[in-house]
Amino acid sequence: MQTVLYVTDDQERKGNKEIMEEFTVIGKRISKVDAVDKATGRALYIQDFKLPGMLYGKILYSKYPHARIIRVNTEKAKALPGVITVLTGEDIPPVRLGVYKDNPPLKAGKVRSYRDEVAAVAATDLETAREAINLIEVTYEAVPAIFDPEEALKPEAPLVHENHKTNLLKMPWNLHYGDVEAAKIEAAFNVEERFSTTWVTHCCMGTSGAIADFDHADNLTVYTNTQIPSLAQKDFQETLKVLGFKDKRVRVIKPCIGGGFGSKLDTYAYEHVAILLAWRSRRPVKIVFEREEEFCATSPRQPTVTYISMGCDKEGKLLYRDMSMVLDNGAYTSWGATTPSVMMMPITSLYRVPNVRYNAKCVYTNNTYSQAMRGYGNPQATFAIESAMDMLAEAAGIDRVEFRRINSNQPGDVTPQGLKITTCGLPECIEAVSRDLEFGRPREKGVGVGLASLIHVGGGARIYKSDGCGTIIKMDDYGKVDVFTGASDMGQGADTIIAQIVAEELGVKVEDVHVFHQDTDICPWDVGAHASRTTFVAGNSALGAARKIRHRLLNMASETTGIDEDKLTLKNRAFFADGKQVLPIGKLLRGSHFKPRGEMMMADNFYDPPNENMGRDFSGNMSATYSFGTHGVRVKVDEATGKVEILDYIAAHDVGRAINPMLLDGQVHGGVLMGVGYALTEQVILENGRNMNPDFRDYKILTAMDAIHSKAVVIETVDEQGPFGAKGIGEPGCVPTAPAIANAIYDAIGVRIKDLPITPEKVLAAIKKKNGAVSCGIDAFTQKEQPCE
Amino acid sequence: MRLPPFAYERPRDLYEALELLNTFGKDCRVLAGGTDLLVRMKQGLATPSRLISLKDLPELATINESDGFLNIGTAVKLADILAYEPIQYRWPGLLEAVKSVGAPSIQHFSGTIGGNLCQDNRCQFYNQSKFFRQARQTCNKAGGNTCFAWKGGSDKCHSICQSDSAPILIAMDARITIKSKNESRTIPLEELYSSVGERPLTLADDEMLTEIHVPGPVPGAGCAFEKLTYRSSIDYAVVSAGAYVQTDGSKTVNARLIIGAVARGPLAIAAVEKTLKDRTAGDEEAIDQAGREAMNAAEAFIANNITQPVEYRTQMVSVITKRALSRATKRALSHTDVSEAK
Amino acid sequence: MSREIKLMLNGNQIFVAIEDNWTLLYLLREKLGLTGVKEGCGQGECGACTVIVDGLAVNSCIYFAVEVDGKDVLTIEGLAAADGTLHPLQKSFVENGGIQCGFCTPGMILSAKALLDENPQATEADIKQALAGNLCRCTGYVQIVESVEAVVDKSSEDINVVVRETGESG
Repeated sequence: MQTVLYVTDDQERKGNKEIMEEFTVIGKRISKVDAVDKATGRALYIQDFKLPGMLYGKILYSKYPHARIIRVNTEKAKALPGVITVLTGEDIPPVRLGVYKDNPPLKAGKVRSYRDEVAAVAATDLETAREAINLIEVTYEAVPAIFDPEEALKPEAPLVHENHKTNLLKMPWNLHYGDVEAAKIEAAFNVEERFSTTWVTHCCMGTSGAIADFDHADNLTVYTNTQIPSLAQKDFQETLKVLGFKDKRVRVIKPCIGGGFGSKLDTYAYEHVAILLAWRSRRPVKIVFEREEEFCATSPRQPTVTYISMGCDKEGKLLYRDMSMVLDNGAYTSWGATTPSVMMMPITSLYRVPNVRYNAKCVYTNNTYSQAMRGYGNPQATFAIESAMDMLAEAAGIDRVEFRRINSNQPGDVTPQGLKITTCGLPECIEAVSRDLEFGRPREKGVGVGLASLIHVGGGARIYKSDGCGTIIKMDDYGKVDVFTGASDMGQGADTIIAQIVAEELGVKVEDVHVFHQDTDICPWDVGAHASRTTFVAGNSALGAARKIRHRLLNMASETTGIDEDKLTLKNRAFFADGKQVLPIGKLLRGSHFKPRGEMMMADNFYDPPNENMGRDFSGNMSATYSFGTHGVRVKVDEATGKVEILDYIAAHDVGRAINPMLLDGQVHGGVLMGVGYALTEQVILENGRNMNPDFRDYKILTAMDAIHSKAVVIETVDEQGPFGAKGIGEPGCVPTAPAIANAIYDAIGVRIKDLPITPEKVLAAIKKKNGAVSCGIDAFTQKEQPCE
Repeated sequence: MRLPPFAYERPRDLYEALELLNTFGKDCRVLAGGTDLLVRMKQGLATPSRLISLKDLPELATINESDGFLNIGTAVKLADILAYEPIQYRWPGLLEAVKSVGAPSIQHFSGTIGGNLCQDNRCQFYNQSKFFRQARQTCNKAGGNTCFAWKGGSDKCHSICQSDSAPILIAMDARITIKSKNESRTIPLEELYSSVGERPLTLADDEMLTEIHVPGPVPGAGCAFEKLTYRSSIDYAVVSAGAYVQTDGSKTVNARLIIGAVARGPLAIAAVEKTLKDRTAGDEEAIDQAGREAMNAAEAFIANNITQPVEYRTQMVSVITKRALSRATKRALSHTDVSEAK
Repeated sequence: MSREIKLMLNGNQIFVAIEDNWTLLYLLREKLGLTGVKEGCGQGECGACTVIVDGLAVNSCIYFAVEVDGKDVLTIEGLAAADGTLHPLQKSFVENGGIQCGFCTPGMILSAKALLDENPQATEADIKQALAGNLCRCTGYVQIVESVEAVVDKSSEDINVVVRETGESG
């Protein structure tokens, strides 16, 4: 294993010749291939699309969190000039959405959350559609609602779905490896604690939207913001089937996406409503969310209540980890309900821990329904684990950094869940953070340091039955390359990474490679942009296709030039032998094309990573490799206001190989600030199911003035399975941020906040409690205790 | 988006503007920067049938100093106040307040001082979309008769004044000129605020705020503005405070403290002057006491009208008060001869 | 009411019929097809709709179209030179990783331009302040601030290259 450590400082990076010189484009800070279009305003997002004859759709949402729909009167709306179609839940066939198929796109009979879609309008312009929505009269009969998932489990709780008989989803997430009870008895030190996390939302700058368009033969084209074009195609196909269209084609076209972060991992009611309106009106229909809808009618990260106990022996070796969770699923079921499958990974495998038990309950409530968000449950689980790690280290009297060193995963480990750790840079990440943050530095008042680590899938994640991705490559007569990938670029730079991989393999320049990723009629299948899998899976897929072409090119060049294949190198758009150019690629291609029985240079490849679906006991090597990282932070707490300021931040990640260090830094910096928001400021405030802060004033994503100059440290472990050694990095940046900050706050002022977000009022209340409520802390200005009136 | 139709008037001089106000009265709104008004129009919270734009009235967009006053026209952009150099050493409290408004610099290029002072009161139950509000009864502020921000309901509106410049300008004893077609009057700024949530300004329908007059610094006096927010920009205040402290070089001789973002108007804490007067300037015990007094006075007003909890905001009144007073005192003690200071 | 207004738009004088109740964003995006101007929130909170009016960066979603009568408006479409040469800020955002999903990018670049036109030697703090009304969810702002800093570092000569000279024409 080759381990290279470098810091994201240009000078140091440029100085690091050993990794830079092997490749011409891999490892280079190459601009994103779509960046110029985006910098000049040419890039088209769903908002920017208009089709001839297009109508504008709007959705009417529920006025109650839980109510029977008695009557819907659409007469006035239908009478409004410009209104073409009005639909209610009664007007549509039984289309069902989501993982559990428990969600009709328009509700009939009953609403189960404020987000429930009750009716929809298509009109010739947006203002008319908006006006028409206000003219629809709905009579409701409110019924008792339930908003707390723990309460919802009680027998007397109102049922969200009566025919489901219980609010507990029938997804039994239970695992037990080793013997936790025996380990508890054996352990010298134990901790036991309850943690909770709340609703946070993706806040993509570009809101959600879709356009549905039928042709005369009832084939459907949907332009939509999606991270899962192929699965969306399947969902829309099912809707068509219900509408009575059999054997019709569905084409999904994905415009530029103004941010994904997991929000577009499923198809949603608005997409199917657009289809239904288009079906009924026989015209293209566009629905684009306003910001308030984006806050209220998209699916946030699921909140968790976590009970954890953990113990170690006298030397500090972890003996067991025992966790149980309750997840608020909300009123319907999307992938949020399956996040325990990923939470299992840190729970069983972050640090070496031989005995593990975990169970999770997903519970229906009358809140908005949840979805995965960057990390797929990992941030929630890691918050509890890494907070408890610090508590256990303290109980055992062992230095926090040392405690993590003792328990660090190592290359070659097989974890209790059966995860096969191949490359593992966790020890190096811990060292980098501990060295950089100077944990031993003399302490200032109100200032503290903390760290937390992560494990994440780095080689795909086999949640669906296939974890694959297809690629088709064609080369034209001049050596220009078109790559048709199943992967979805949502701003993270998948196109660029794929272009780099292909360019490197084919010895052409990045600008010679055009990556198409946005159209299911053109591009092969892919399971979607999730699980930080795109670089690894789509990268390997593209690499495999490019290798086939490279192989043929070398073969043909050898025939043409009479030089042995192994003496030829392919770089800079040509073949070289003994350092001299012998044949440009274009010439070779034209030669093979324009001749009797000529041929075109094309290849395809479907790559499905060597990972495993979970077995009945939830064990299995779900990813082909794993990413690791450690974050460290120094905070300053204003003990009078409870405000937390971040002074230094370092994020060390084992990424396998940095294919594009500039894009990699972007993923880390972006992930970190999103993680800081999760830790300190962000929360969807639900008051009895009603979103109280559906705007950027009160939903506090951080601003440029709050930005922290996080230092990104890259550990390259060059994974054998990864394309050029790379592992995934999309999600890890926001996984360990919250516990690192919580640990630093504890270090600074001796209070442990167990509930996210760590808002000033919570910090202050904790200080108050710690001081026996005789003091509200020290006024940072006067340096005096202030009494708590 | 397109807004409901209205008539747009662009008077060429102040007289014309006032005449329009006189003619159309309560059906029209004065449009300065529009950063507050447009959002409220989009949410259906303001439905004027006529807008009177101040864009062509340069006489309302000037800053000058005369007779010991800094005179700021109502349509002066926040960015222009920040760019007015003498403010940095002569009115640092005002600088702090203006700087903290909204999202710099983009909103400072549109937002005006008059708009900041005359913005409507806010409440988390009121400043929402029409759809959001439709799910509940109509509240006092929207013309109904209930209040969601007040525990148990209330027959009064418990919205808050979120102007950042008001607390400091009142603390500095600023005066304002209000004009109508037939009248012009100059009054203390604090009299602009009615403390009535439903209609927070005392302006008559035909009146317009035209100018703000800020007294020049006095030797031995200092002012400061404190604003607690969770983020570094965009946020409205959780609590804010404008403080003015005058000393004779060792003792406090005069002090004023105005708390923002807790009550229906800027909240003057009268007890603070008495508490600090004749005490050693910067005496911590006195300032602590002032903090407690501010908190006790504010407590009665704080409603559940923003997303931060009432209890926390109440505690923060004391903290923010003390910080504002301490910094104002420090400035007072270091600015013994302000007129020549630079 | 409808009326005709005259403005300089991306260096060209145009006359356009508008309604009083249109926002500038609506005029630019829906009527003039300048879809590089983005709508992120419609309430002046996110900055995606930022355009430059008479040298100042403003939120076009809370700015009436009628109020640009006689003014000079610059959108992202007008920032590159006529021959397509990117403005130094555009180039820098491209080269320094200042762009991910790209939805905030036009507004971000224009806010930065308004700053550098005013203050070519802006510091990191100035830059963060100038971008404080432009939200970004992807980058954590680090590479955005670096992109602007990279332009500051160069001589300020090539910054003021585009438009604005005819600003008083109306």
